[in-house]
Parts: sequence; structure tokens; C-alpha cells
Amino acid sequence: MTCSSPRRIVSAFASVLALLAFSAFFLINQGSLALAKEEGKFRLGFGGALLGNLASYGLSNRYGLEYAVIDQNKKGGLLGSQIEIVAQDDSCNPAQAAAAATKLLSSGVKFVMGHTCSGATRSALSAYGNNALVISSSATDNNLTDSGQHPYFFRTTPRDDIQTKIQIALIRKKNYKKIAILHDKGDYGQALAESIRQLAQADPGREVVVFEGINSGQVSFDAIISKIKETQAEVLVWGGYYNDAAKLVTQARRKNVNVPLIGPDGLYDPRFIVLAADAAEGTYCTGQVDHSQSALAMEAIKDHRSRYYTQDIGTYFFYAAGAAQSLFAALETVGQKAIDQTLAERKAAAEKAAKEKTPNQPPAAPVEPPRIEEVNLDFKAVKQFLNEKVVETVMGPVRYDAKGDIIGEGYKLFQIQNGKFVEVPMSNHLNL
Amino acid sequence: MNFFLELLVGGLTKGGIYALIALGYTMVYGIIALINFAHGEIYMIGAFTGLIASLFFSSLGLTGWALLALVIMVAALWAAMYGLTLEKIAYAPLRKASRLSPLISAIGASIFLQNFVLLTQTPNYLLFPDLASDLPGLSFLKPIAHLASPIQVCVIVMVALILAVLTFILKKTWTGLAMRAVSQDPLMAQLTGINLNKVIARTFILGSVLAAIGGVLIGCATRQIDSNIGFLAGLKAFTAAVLGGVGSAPGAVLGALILGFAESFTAGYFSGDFEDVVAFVLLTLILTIKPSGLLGQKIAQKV
Repeated sequence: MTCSSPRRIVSAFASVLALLAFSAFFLINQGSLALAKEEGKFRLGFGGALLGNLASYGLSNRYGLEYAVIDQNKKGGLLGSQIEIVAQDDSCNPAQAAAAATKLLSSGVKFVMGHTCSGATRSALSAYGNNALVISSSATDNNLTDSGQHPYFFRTTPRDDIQTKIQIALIRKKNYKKIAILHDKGDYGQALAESIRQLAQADPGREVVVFEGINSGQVSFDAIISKIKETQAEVLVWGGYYNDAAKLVTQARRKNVNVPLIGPDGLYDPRFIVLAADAAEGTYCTGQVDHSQSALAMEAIKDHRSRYYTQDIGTYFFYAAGAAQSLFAALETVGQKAIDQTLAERKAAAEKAAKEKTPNQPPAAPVEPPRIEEVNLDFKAVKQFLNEKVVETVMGPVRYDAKGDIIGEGYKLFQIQNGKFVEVPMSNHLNL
Repeated sequence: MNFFLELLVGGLTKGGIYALIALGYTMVYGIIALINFAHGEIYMIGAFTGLIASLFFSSLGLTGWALLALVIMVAALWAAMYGLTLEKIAYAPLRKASRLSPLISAIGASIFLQNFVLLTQTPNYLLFPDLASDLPGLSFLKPIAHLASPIQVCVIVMVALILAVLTFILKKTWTGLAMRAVSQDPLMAQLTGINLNKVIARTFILGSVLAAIGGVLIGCATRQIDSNIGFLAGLKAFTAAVLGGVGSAPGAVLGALILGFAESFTAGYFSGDFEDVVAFVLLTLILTIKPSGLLGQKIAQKV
């Protein structure tokens, strides 16, 4: 068969047609996407765990953000533009977080609230680069701000090293000499574990007898529990989330290993008590300060419950709402300046055009001020605002230091007594 | 010495847990040469059903052996229906397709079931009651609780029991004979009057029952279940089955025990960080020396 056989030509023609049809469809699709962006809306990104096992954390963040956005929209939005949330799930999985970040960027989002977990946030930040300004309300890993690689990253949740300082203070007060430290090999847990190990080893006479990562989701922790017993550790410090901790402590108590457990805010979740039941008794953990008592906060909870009847607000509600409100304040100031500047430029251009106008041309349309979603918002100016100005929010006054960490937020120490988290008052030498 | 003993028992428990799942895995493979990746999900469904059943029956006031037995029965029944449906929907239409197609179908079924439970039940972790903790007759274990708890004993005893029953079924009953015939030569088996579909359906029911028993007992041992447990457990059980020789029931138990001991002693004497590394290096070594697995038989390839 030669190349010029009619059949070949027809099939070649058909495939070209098919290709054209496909690309036309693609273009139409792109066009409709562009059209779908509603006029007069400011798009705000949200990245975090909305599905999966850690969705309770992500949903708490989302609820807080929703409250702040709805509240702001009621007040007229951002300089007249209503705010619209563009949400992407990452299930706290670093690989999914990078994909979510890329999707948010490609949908034209410049400001993102998120992500939920430290590992996912680290991976998402690399994907954002300097193309988005990100505020997380639950990622606590020190390194996220300490590394200095992400100048446009901020967070309203206090950092991990504040937790470990409280934990080491407790260890000193109880005078535990032999310490076992376990973590779940994740970004969040391992960083906490390393940090508490450094603090413990710096103390003379204190010894870290076990320091290990365990495989999350394992069926049995018997071997490591035997080891804790064998090394006569007096306390077990856990770096990780509540699910593995519950399994660990239940299996330890079953083997009559009764060393006290100290955990991070990953344990400060009512689900830990549900999962570990009796074995949870006496466990210490650091947890977020209760923001729910102020009048503003009560109003926020009421508003939230009017939309979600059965839903609990979770741990991060106020951090998320505070983060969003601080951003809105910054955007209003920076946005107004950018709008004024663009307006002045447009006016100048219009005047110039009017001067060169020949008598025959119709009169030019009046110059309108641009909307906030149309102007270029300078990240540097937003950062400067967040660093310098104190914003009153539902979680209290919010200001960030140069690295992006919130100033003045802390943790408290809790102990589980009779199935409830009870705050342990920190005496002067425990006070930080 | 005591430490060594504890690690030994810990390894035995872990191995027993892997064996409970690996037995069903390897049996299905042995008979229809299909790696049923959804086996781990059937185990997960067994655990969820077990949890619901245990809440229901304990609210009726049942305790002890009766509760445990009833919960296992309900879970086994429910899981068997899932296994049977899965076979009819995902594998039976592909019986004449190439060997890769049912494998992909199995992976798809596994992902489907996992997300199905996640969406229709809960994405949260759930507390599983320890049904074996106060079984009458096992209270003599109280003084040695640091070594062996009632549930650990139950797991080990159940593995031995399943191994015995499985061997009995395969070697002594007509169904077992038919299963072995199908495993050797499906076409010839059909010519002798064996109903292929019936035998394969029974294989899946048996495999799912084993998975569900595992689901309940392992739930009692780990005290925590979620929609994701099937994945990791299935992976470890698959490893154990391969280590022992896929298709061999005693091989699966042996492989599971070796895996359990390797993980336990590595975590005990070295570090939990290296648990999986050592276990899988061991797997690679054994398979390099004996590619068909420890107790696997080399099957001559038909040309």
C-alpha cells in the first residue's frame, strides 16, 4: 500500500479533524472557565484537609474562615467586592498538597488560607513559591518560618517550640530522669520529638533512653512498649497525632506499662479521649488557649451554629477566623492604595487622551475606579502591614513578627482527668 | 531474658495478626491464581461489621464468649456477602481475560470499598471494644498480662484453628477436592462435572469469612479501626503470603510469623525506625534464594 492510498488520506484527515475538534473544545472550556469568574468577587484560596482521617482539623480551619468571610461580606466585603472561597482538599498529604497549591494558583488565587498540617504546608509552600501569600492557622512546625525560605508565609497558631518548652518544664518539675521519646516519622511529630530531645539532653542528669520513630497505623506496638519497660523510662513523650497515641497508650496499659504520657496539641482533641478511653487518664498534653470566652467569639460561635446545627467548631476555628480577619485588614489598606494609584494613572491617561482628541470623536467614558480584584496587590506591602499593625480580631489582637509567626500566642498545659481536659495551672517557674 | 521473652511473644502476636489475614489471601490465590487486593478491604468491612454487631449485642446484655462468637458470626456472614458480590461483579466477568485484567479490577475494587466505607460510614478513627478482655476461662492470664493478654492468646489459638480447619476442608471434603482440582486445571475440572462458578464462589466465601474473623480479632487487639486499615494490613499479609509461598496455607502462617518476629526483634534490639527495612531485606534475601517462597511449590509452566 502506498502513502497516497485514499483510505490513508481519509484516516489522516479524520485524525486532523478530531484533533481540531478536541483543541476547539479545550479552548471553549478555557473560555467558559474564564467567564465563570464572577465580576465583583475577590477570590480567596483555602487549602487543607477536608477529607480523610485528619479532616476534623481541616474542617475546623474551614469553619473559622467561613465565619470571617461571611462576616466581612455582610459588612460590604473587601472595598466593595464580595469575597469568595476557593477550596482545595489536601487530606494532610504532602503530595496532594502540592497539587492543591498548583490548582489554587491556576485558578487565579493570590491569597491562601492554609494548609492544615505541617508536612502538607511545607510541600504546598514550595509549590506556591512567591506567587501567593499564605496564612496557616494550624501548621505548627518551627521550620516553616525558621527556614526563611517563605517570606510570604504567616501563621496564627503558636509554634511547636512553645509546646516543647512547656513539656520540658513539666518534666523538670516532676523530675523525670529517664525519658522515652517516640514519634510517627511525620514532619509534625518528628520535629516535636527532636526538639524535646535537644532540650532534655541539655539538662545535666537527664537521659533520653529511647528515641525512635514508629510506623503509623501499625497493628501492634508490643515491641516498643516492652522496650520502654526494659529501659525503665519514667515518662513517654509522644510526637504525633492522637490516633497512634491512643493505640500506643491503650496497648501499653494492657501490658501494665503505666508510664505517664506527655503529648503535643495533636492530642488535644476530644477524639483522643474517646479512642483511648480509660487509658487516656492522667495523660498530659499541651493545647491551644481557649478563645471562645470573649463577646466577639461568642457571637462568632452563634453565627457558626446558625449555619451548621450539629457541627462542633473544633480546635482551630478562632485561629482561622483571626488569620482571615488580619488579612482582610491588610488587604483593605493595601488595596485602597493600589486602587487610588491605578485610578490616578487611568485619570492621567484619560486627560492625555482628551488633550489629543480631535473634535469629531465622541466624548470619552468617565474614568471609574478599579475593583480590588483587578489591581495588583503588592505582597511586600501586605507583609509590612501584617508586621507593623495590630489587628483586632475574633481571636484577640493579631500581629506577626518578621519571620511570620504570630506575636503573643501561647499554649497551655492540660491533663486528662475523669475523661476531660483539665487545665494544669502553671506556677511561676513553669510560666513562660 | 524476660525482655527477650516479651519480644518473642510480641512477635508471635504480630505474626498471628498478619497470619489471620494472610491465610485468606493465600487460599484464594492458591485456587484461582488471583491476587485479591480487595482482601484487605473485606477484612476492614469485617471489622466495621464486628464493631456495629458488638455494640448491638452488648446493648442487649450479652457478654463473654457468646458475645465474641456472635460478633464473629455476624461479621463473617456480612463479609462473605461482600466477598461473593465482589467476585460476581469484579472478577467473574473477567475470568477469560488476560491475567492482568482481574488484578487491576481487584485494585479498583479495593479503592472503591475503602472510599465507600469512608463516605458512608465515617472518616474518623473508631474505638473497638476488647471483647476478649474479660472472657471467663482466660482469667488465669492476669498475672502474666505483661507477656500475654487474653486477646493475644485468642489470636494465636484462632490461627492454629483456622489452619487446621482449612487443611481439613481442602484435604478431606468434596468441596476441597473440587477446589484443588480447579486450582490444578480448571478446564479438566469442568469436564469431570465440577461447577467452576460454584467452586470459585465458595472459595471467595471462605476467604471472606477468614478475613472477617481477622477483622474482629485484630480490632480487639489494636482497639482502633478506620476505613484505611485494610491497606497496610493487606500489604503486610501479602508480604507474608509471598514469603511463605503464595498458595500454601502453612507457608502463609510461617511467613507471617517470620515477618512478625523480624519486626518485633528489630524494634526491640535496634530501633523502630528500621523495622520495615529489616523485614523487607529479609523478604528479598529469602526470595532470592528460594523464589517460590519458603513452602511454595514450583509449578511447571504449561506451554
